[in-house]
Amino acid sequence: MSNQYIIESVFNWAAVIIYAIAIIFNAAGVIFNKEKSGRRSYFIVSAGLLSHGCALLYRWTTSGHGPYMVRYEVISADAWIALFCFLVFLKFYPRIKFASIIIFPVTMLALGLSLFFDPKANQLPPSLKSIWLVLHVSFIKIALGALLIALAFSIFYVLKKHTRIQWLQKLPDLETIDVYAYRFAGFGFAFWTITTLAGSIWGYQSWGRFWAWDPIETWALITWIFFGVYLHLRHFFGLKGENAAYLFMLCFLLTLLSVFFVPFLESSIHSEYFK
Amino acid sequence: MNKFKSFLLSRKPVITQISLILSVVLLGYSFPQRFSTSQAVIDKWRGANPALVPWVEKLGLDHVYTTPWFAVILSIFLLTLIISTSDQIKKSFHLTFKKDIFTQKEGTIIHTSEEALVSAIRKKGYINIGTYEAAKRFVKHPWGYCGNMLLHLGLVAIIASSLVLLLTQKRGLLHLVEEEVQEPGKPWTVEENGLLADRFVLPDAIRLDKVNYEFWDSDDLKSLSSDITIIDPQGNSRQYKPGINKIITYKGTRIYQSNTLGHAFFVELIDKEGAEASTILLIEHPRRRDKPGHGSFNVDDLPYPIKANYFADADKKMMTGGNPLLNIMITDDKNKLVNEVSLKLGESGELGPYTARLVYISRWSGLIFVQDPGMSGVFFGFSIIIIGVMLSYFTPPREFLIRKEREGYSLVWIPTKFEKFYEEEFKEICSSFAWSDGK
Repeated sequence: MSNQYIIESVFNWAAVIIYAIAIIFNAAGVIFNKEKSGRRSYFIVSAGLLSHGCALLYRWTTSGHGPYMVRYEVISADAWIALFCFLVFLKFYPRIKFASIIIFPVTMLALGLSLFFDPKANQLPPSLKSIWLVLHVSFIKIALGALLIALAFSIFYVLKKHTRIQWLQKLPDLETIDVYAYRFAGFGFAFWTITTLAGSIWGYQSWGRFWAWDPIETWALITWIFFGVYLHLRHFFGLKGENAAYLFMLCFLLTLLSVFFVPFLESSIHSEYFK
Repeated sequence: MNKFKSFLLSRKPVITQISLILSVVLLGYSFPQRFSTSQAVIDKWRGANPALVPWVEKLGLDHVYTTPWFAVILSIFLLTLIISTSDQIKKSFHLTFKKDIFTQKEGTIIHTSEEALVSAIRKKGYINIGTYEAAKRFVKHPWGYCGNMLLHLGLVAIIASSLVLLLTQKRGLLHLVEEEVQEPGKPWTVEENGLLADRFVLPDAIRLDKVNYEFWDSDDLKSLSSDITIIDPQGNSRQYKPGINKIITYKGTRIYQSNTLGHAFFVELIDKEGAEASTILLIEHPRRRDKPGHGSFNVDDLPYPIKANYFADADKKMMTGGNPLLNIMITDDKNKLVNEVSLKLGESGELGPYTARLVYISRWSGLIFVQDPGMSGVFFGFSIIIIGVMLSYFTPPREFLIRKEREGYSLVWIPTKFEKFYEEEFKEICSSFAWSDGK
């Protein structure tokens, strides 16, 4: 293992351990009413985010390109941005703090998962040297972060409605949970749309097509349409509550399919280097 | 007319139209599409699915996005969107400038002066956008009322522009060998035109002077560009250098560097009677120094199909060596190998009944030519959608109405969306002053 990977691994494993500690403190705060522990978990998770960010930044400088070429860096960056987005959103919407019970473990698991993949850096092909690609990749990661928060609230809705789990009773009322899921789905949809625009400009600049119907584009469009239907039904046709939560979960499954699974199954410009 | 409009905008027809478009996308995903799949893959798929071939032929399932029936579905969806957008325009105009601002909602009576109440409302970011009769209307983010309208308008722009593209765009791909000249009107390597577009003709003759490329140490492509000369009918010439992500525009035609490149092998074949046949084998560049690039060819006057591959460097030590190694194989009708020969530049060898000689090696690359009126409409539409989505979800409007009552001011708060997110704004205003229930 080269020095480069050793340095990255130290930062990454430090982040995994710090995230694990943050999860314990956070669970104590949210589930067992230990307020002090809950507050401390945010400081701890921020330290993890810093260490995780150092690993990504170090890789960016040594590989000469952003984290969008191999599975290891893509999944690791997805995890980092999901947690970063959550902490930023938390500043503006403090009531989303309960979503930490889902966001923190997902971040740790995603980072842990990324470490099982080959960390060997790929060189940047000429078609990927475009600012529009950087924007395209950044916005899809932000979209995933927002959608993850919406997923947390959709799950909370269903759990709170059908179970008597004690700590869930501390969450806002069902109507508020439903509105939070709707709002963050809207944010995710907005960022997904920007991702599509940036990607189409990149495609047009690189090979003269704004849309090439490659498998990932196709599945991303299907997912976008599903989110559009979800938001349309909510806005114009009064969809809400449990049905909305289940529809959102279906949309989120489609998101996972298009972003994480299709690149492994199909050949496309998106997956050529991702495989 | 109103019945037709209500029908088009009701839930079932809207969901049916979206489902139809989704189905087309899934069809395009399930059947190999001509524009994105090589002929060999299409032929293989056809061989494996003979029962589906007649349906593919009848319905154009191998080019679903350029079929007339898809254009019809898209047109119906466009009509629905136009009607919906016109509704949204009226609605957003009404919501922004409405005169009938009185609401059924009971107000909360605030016991304070008008100045103090207005100042508190303004501090929360609400803007006074009108006084109607005895009531004043304050709105936070009034532009948010345009969100849905812009979202719909953007979709209309994208679909309308896509239809224009579907009908009128022209695309051509040329594989040119260094020093080769392509005259206007000569056939393209691959041509793809819109349903109503006439034949795509190059504006002027084009010559490929040189292909420039570099590889990383990992053998991945690092850069690719072509030196080209465009020659007009008067013989005036101009040099250009399109590269990947470096587009040239010439007389309304955009010229892109394709990511295809390779070597062209000029081979002479002489049979036992001394009859000569010569051919040029254009083979894609190997992806790795130790793996060959492949090609299949049918040469005129030759009874055998030819298969060929080559290594970029005969010693397999580099990607850009000037010493490629070509292997030529001739096969029979059943694809069985009859004979093969390996050649470097200037060498000759026996290939079945022929003597093969590699007389010259050159480079080739792909250039893509595009004429696509309507493209700016697509990007305009995208931008409008993004502004619309941002206004809808990031700046949802909410309103305060205040009206003088005997004991103070009646305050009504009207959120349009996400009430639970912003209810604190209303509660904070109320708690700043003495208040009572308006009932």
